[in-house]
Amino acid sequence: MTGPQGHALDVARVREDFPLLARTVHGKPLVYFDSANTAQKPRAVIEAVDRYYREFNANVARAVHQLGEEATAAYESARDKLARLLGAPSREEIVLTSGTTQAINLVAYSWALPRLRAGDEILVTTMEHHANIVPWQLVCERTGARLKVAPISERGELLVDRFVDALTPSVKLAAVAHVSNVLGTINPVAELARATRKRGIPLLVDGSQAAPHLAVDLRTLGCDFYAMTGHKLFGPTGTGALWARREILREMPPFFGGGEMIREVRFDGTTFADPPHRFEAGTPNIAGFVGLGAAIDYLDGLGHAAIGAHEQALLDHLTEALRAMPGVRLFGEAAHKVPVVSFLVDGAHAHDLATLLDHEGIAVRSGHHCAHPLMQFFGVPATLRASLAFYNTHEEIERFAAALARVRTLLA
Amino acid sequence: MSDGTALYPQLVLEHRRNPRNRGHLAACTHAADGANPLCGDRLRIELRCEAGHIVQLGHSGEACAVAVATASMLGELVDGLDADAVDALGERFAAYIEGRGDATGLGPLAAMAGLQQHPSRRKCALLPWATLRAALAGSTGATTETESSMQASTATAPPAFRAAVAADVDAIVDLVQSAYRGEGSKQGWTTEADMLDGQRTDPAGVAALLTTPGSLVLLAESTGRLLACAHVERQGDAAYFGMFSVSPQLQGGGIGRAMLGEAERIARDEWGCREMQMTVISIRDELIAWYERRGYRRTGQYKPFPYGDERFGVPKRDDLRFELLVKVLQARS
Repeated sequence: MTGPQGHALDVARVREDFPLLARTVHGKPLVYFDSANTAQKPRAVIEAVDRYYREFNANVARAVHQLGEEATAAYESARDKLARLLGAPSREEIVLTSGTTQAINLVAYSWALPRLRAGDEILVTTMEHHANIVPWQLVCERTGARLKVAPISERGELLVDRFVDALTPSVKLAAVAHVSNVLGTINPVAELARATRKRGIPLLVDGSQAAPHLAVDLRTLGCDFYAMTGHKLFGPTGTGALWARREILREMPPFFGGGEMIREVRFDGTTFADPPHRFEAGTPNIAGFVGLGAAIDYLDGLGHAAIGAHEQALLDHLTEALRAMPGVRLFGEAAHKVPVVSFLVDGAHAHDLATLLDHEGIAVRSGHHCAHPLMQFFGVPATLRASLAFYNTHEEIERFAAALARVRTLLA
Repeated sequence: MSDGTALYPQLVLEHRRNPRNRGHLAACTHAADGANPLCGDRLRIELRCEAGHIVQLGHSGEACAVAVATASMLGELVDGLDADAVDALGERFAAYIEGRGDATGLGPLAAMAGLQQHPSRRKCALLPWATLRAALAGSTGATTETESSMQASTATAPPAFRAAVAADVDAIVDLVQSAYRGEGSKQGWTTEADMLDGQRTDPAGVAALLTTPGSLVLLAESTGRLLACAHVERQGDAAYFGMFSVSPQLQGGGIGRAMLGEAERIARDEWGCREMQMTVISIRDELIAWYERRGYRRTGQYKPFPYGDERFGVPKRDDLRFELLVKVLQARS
């Protein structure tokens, strides 16, 4: 497979790095089009986790013995790699979490809850994942603040003017997906951040779906919080991070209490560690972060430019194939997208198609994709979603399109 | 196509294309709405029962082939059965699709054997059953998903009851209006939007109830949010129950039942009343059936609807009247 410019991705070789992609499902070679749900893991990640348990399993930041030193070094190096991957000014600004959901909840409980008052507002958009809606609703319930929603267009693009207009003085926080998990839309975060900064409103960006596809650079994005997850980034489940400016993190009280996050504990009062450890109580997912570090190294080896070129070609191919099929409705036709395509087929329920495709060896997701409000906006209960990654091929898209054409006749 | 069709044999596809018993019943005694929000499946089952036995079933809604075909097939199967027999058959079907039992007595539903290999789709076939059983049990909603939806996250806390004060008047008026009038009320089943326009009550009406001696407006709240209200008034040996309203989005979740129970408890234990009375618009069969399942009986005594008094709304039809329902409150021993 070759991309349009030099440094093309050798997809056949890349696929050899992912042992799971070689398996069959219902007797057919697997076509995995559900990477936005969770991505498959390269051998480097699987082996890093395995090696941790075989060779240096120990708790972190406590033991002074050799194993503890090795485990701590491997775990903390994931923080360095995440800082580099995201373009964070300092590794001390990276809080390791169990994923995006925990990262956003940390901001909700530690930053927003003590600050918001009745009458304040939190601005989100129609295309948010439940993880970037429900934590704010819980904060609103406790504080009397309200959720405000910036609308999108029928094409699935955020209406930037309406977002900026909604940044009234009562808005105390804006929270926006970098990339929509349903539509694939890439939001113009830098532009949104310029508007929020001008008004002194902190901007949180949900980067779950962006980090696997885009070169994220926090220095140019200009947001105030960035939440991401490891398992969509080809790393283990139960890993993720919150980035926030050092001065913001310093103002945030601890959310979870326990070991690891303290400086000194006395029964008449405890002093807490500095960020980021202040927010990392208890024994973390050490093996997971060792694996995530390996995933980031692996992605560095491929290069974002090569990944991006291949993914854009896949997206164009998939979109064309679906557009060519009569009775297929596409959701999300933004100008800037990652290879995530949601659609429905006339007269066929999404779940039935997903089951029939599964029996052709093709894994797609059907349902509401944890985005009920977006489904309500489009007036549909559910969609099918094909979400691709750099390890997918044009041949797989052809197989998917042929299978879809075949199975829909069963339901006609 | 290989074994991929196991879940969709010809019989299932045929029932999906031409569902039997599809549609609404003109006279239904029981109804429930089933929803699996994760899938986006919604289906409604309406029943006409005579002496506790199903004589007619209608199903409607938007759902996947597995759910539609199951609803179509079970209609023929449950004809003439009572709630216990339906429960037994439902259990047998659940056991069959989980591979724990055979298809004896399941008729065309034997075609659902493919679900034995598809655990993730079993909830689709169980949804019509759960909805049917909910309707027979007097509940109005059912789901076979456990994922907590956003509505659930705000509604799961058990309600707390308290007596309303003057500051609650506006919230009460909004709630009552939302449950009975206008398009929004159609999200719930207590709507009267097709019978009446105009208002159900107003601030002056509610304020008057708050100052009537021997009367209280009971509120059910959860995490500071008003879920339901009702007016209870002591009239000698009997208590009168009225202005009963449950937020339309929350109907079918048991809040109404809890509210009625609390009102009965107050009347019986705190006021020593022997009977609870209420009046219901006589054409509202579903509502009367709901009260009958809670121990109320029709009396055949009617009161005229106050035509011309717009404080009670603007009728869209000329045959409205109230029927008196009563329930004997048995003292707790």
